[in-house]
Formats: sequence, structure tokens, C-alpha cells
Amino acid sequence: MLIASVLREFTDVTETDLICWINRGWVRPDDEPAGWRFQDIDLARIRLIRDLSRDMEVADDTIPLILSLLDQVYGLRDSMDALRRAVAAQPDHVRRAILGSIA
Amino acid sequence: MKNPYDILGVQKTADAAAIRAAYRKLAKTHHPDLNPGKPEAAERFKEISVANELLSDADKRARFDRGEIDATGQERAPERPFYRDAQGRGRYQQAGGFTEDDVESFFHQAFGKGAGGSTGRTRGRTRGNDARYTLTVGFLEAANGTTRRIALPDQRTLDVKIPAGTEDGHVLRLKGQGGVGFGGAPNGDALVEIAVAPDPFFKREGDDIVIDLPVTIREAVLGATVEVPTISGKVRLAIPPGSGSGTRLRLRGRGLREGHQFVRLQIVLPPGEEAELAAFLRDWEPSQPFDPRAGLGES
Repeated sequence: MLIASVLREFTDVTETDLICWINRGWVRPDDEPAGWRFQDIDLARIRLIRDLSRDMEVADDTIPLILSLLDQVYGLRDSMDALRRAVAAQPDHVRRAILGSIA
Repeated sequence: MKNPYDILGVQKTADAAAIRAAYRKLAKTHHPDLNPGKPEAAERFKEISVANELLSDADKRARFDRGEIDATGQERAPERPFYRDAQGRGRYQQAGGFTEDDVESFFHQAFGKGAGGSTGRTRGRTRGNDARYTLTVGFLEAANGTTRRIALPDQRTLDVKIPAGTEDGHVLRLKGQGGVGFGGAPNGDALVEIAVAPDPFFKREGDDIVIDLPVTIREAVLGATVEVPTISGKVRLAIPPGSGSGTRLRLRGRGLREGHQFVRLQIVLPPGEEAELAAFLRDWEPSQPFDPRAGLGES
């Protein structure tokens, strides 16, 4: 998706806003010769930043803090999920042993 | 369908600012992306958004208040994807992150960083991570050595012995006090970086301590014995007669380890006006006239 189509999704995000967010590294679309190309994840992230900035009136200098913490939370959740699946794939006695050492 | 005023927790008479404030507060609490572990947050957030959309639009709000439309009539918050449900978050993972399916890399990240060296890492048996801490100590504590207790994230406490003469930035390695080893491998180490707070009076130069000591004109001209602080308590220092500003005196063995303490004298004028001193100087002619600035600026 190119920047023009992204901007059509929002009534209160200007091109200047979006370029500013990209320059600050809050949004990281693919940088192609033809211009930025946005994927679904980028769109979802723009929505999140819009919510933080507009609906919640979070100050601009606080947004990177929130994004960084969120990225860590999501990273940890993905790690947990990988661990959960790894444990689930183990034989019964191994799973019991792991559970036993957590409790 | 619940009443939008109840959902936002505002009075029927609330003005636009109050509604906005209430919505902002609830959005911060219930935004699904801020609550990835709470599936019910999506439903709650939608409810809040719908209520806000109705009440923040003066026209819709008036129609609702007159009973022309009901709260449900407005419930068409567009289905929107949230960040927490989007695929491909990998591009926003911070350095060291890994793709969801890379379980091996997860174990490496969780248990194996810092492993390596000559022993290498064997599958399923990895040395614990090294844990890093920073500890700030006072200048005198670092000079004389001290023991400090730090609280670890896992409720344990660790007594850190800081040897006398520890320098700023020094890293103490406490063997086996880091992350727990995996599969019977040894624990990691705790690496404690010591930050030494500067002292306004004592300065360190290698193992020597340097201080500036204020003295009166009388002490400088006539000589005196004065008390001087050192890192190990006060000692008496003899100031020879005729010591000017900048005179450097040594207190042997009063530095760190084998070092000394050096005392630089600084002549301080008496506070306030001293008419007699001024009168004396006006009439006084030195027996050996001299120019203290002779030769300055000439190579």
C-alpha cells in the first residue's frame, strides 16, 4: 500500500504527521525506489499511534516510550508463546517436570 | 444496550470537555493494544468508542437525549484491526528479537546469551546469563572500601564488597551470582559496575589525592599548623612561613594504597573591609621589590 492510500484511511492524520512518525522510526514501512510501501502491520501501528496521540492525548515525547514498552511486551508474548508450544510438544513426563520446577 | 453516559461514567449534564476527558481516561485503560492479554478489552473498547462517538457529536447527543435515537442505533463502530492482532510484528521487534517460530533462537536468547568461550554451547545445556548492575558509591566509600547490599530482581540480595581504592567505572565480577544455568550448566556471573560519585573537596589523580586548602594571609606569611581532612580522617599539617598560593605540600602515605595526599594552598582574603590591613599595605614597601608578572607572555 502506498502513502496516498494509507492517508485515505484516516481523517485526522496528515501526510506531514505520517512522514514525521516515519522519520522518528515509529513507523517503518519498506523503503522502495517507488516510495514507501506499507503493510498491514504498519497500518495497524499507525492506527495505534493515532489513538495514542489523538484520542489519549499522549505527548509526542512519551509516545516512543510507550511504543518501546509495547514492542517489548509483544516480543515477550511471542517468546512465551514459542516456549508454550515447545513445552506442549514434549512428552508427558517432561512437561510434568517443567511444570514442577516452575511451581 | 447500556446508556452511553453510564459507559463513560459522566453526568447527563457533562460538557464536551468532561466527556472528552472521561473518554481519554477510559481509552488509556482499555485500548486493546495496551492490553494484549485481555481479549475482552476489544469489546469494552468498542463500547467506549461508540458511547464517545454518540456523546461527542452535539447533534447526535441532542437527538439521543430527546429519545429520537437509542444507543444501539448508533452501534456501528467500524470493525477495525488492532495492532495486537496484526501479523508480522517482527519488523518492530527490538534487536535480539526473533521470529515467532524460531524456538531454538528463543532458548538461545533466554538461556544462552553470554555462553560461549572455550567451553562453547552445547544444546540444552547452557550457562546462565551474566546479570549487569550499576552501583553508585560515595567518593570516600570507594576510597576506603565498603560493603553494599543490592536487591536482585528475584528477591535475593547480594553483598558487594567494594575494595579500597576502587575507581569509577570499575566492574566487579561476582562468580555464579547471575542467571541460573540451564540443564545443569553453571550460573552466569553478576557484573557490578561501580560508579564513584565525585567529591567537591577530594580529587583523585591515580593513587594520589589532591585538595585545595584555603589559608589566611597570616598563616601563609607566618606559617601555621592546621588540621586538614584526608580520606582517612583529619591530620595536622605544618605550613612553612612564606608559603604562597599554589604551594604544594605533601602528606605522605595519605593517598590511596601507596599514594599520597597533595595539598595546594590558596590564600583567602578576610571577609569584609580590613582598614588596618589596607593602611599597612599602602605604606608598606617590600625590602626586595619584585614584579610577579615579569616575563609573562614572553617565550
